[in-house]
Amino acid sequence: MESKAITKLLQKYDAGETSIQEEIQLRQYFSATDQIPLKWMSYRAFFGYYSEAPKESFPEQRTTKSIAFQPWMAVAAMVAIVLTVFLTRMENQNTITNSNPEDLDLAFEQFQTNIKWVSNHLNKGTEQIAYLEYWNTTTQKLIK
Amino acid sequence: MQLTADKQFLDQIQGIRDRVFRVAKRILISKEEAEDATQEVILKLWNMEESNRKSFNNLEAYTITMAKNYCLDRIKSKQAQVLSLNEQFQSQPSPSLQKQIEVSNEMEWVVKLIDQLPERERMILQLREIEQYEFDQIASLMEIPEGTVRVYLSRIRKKIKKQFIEIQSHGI
Repeated sequence: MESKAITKLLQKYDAGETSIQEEIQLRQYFSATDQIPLKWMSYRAFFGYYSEAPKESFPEQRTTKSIAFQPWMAVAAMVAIVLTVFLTRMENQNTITNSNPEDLDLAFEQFQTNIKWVSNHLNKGTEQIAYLEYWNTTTQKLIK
Repeated sequence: MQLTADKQFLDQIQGIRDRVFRVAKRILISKEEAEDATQEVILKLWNMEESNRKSFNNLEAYTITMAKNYCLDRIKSKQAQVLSLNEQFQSQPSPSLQKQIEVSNEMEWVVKLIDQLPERERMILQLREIEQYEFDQIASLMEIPEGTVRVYLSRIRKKIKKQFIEIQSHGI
């Protein structure tokens, strides 16, 4: 009974008159039916292939993709930055709070001497600049 | 703005790319050449002005047409090469018979039978049986009337069926 309808559909198919819907129907019949008349074996082979072929896709090239920037890389970078900042701050805090007052005083003294040294040298610099200024005025006098 | 437009284009092309590849492979038969052709076609689209791209109301049909023309051109230039090669090796017998015997699997036979069709017939078969395009879509892609598409399909279907049955009855 069903095969009568299929015979009709196959005739239409061979004539190039079937619709996409009818062709899907034929495919389903041939993929779902085990006992197929010998004369229809060719159809089973063709429809079987036509059902499989659309699954083929363009092969991905790995070489071009490997270097491409991925969104997760941004996230990983952010996490790394935040972690380093957080950890170093934690460490600094620990050294200050854990050290005793004498050490802190010593550190302050050292800091003061360092700053004094820097300021001395800075003043040396300004002396030089004052000298330069003097030079400037004399050359200007000469040019005039 | 440009970035979102490019992203949109990439998304659009992603779906079409597999189809272009399958059609190109059907025409050119070689997988490597089909890959090259697909990339070439997509690059051409990419290099096109954005305003031009937008003017196609059907990017898929346009892309498939481009792929078809590209592949047919490739075949033409290849045939010229093969012709000159054939002249040199004319004395050698065709290896097709030997190959035919080697292929025993039913599915492989189907592929073989399709591959030996002329390229226009191969393409029409691909568009209908595998890409499942409607007759009017195939007609506009192949630039032939709808009736001719049906005639072609009928001829192809009967031809490969007959060949398949012949092979089966030979007991290979």
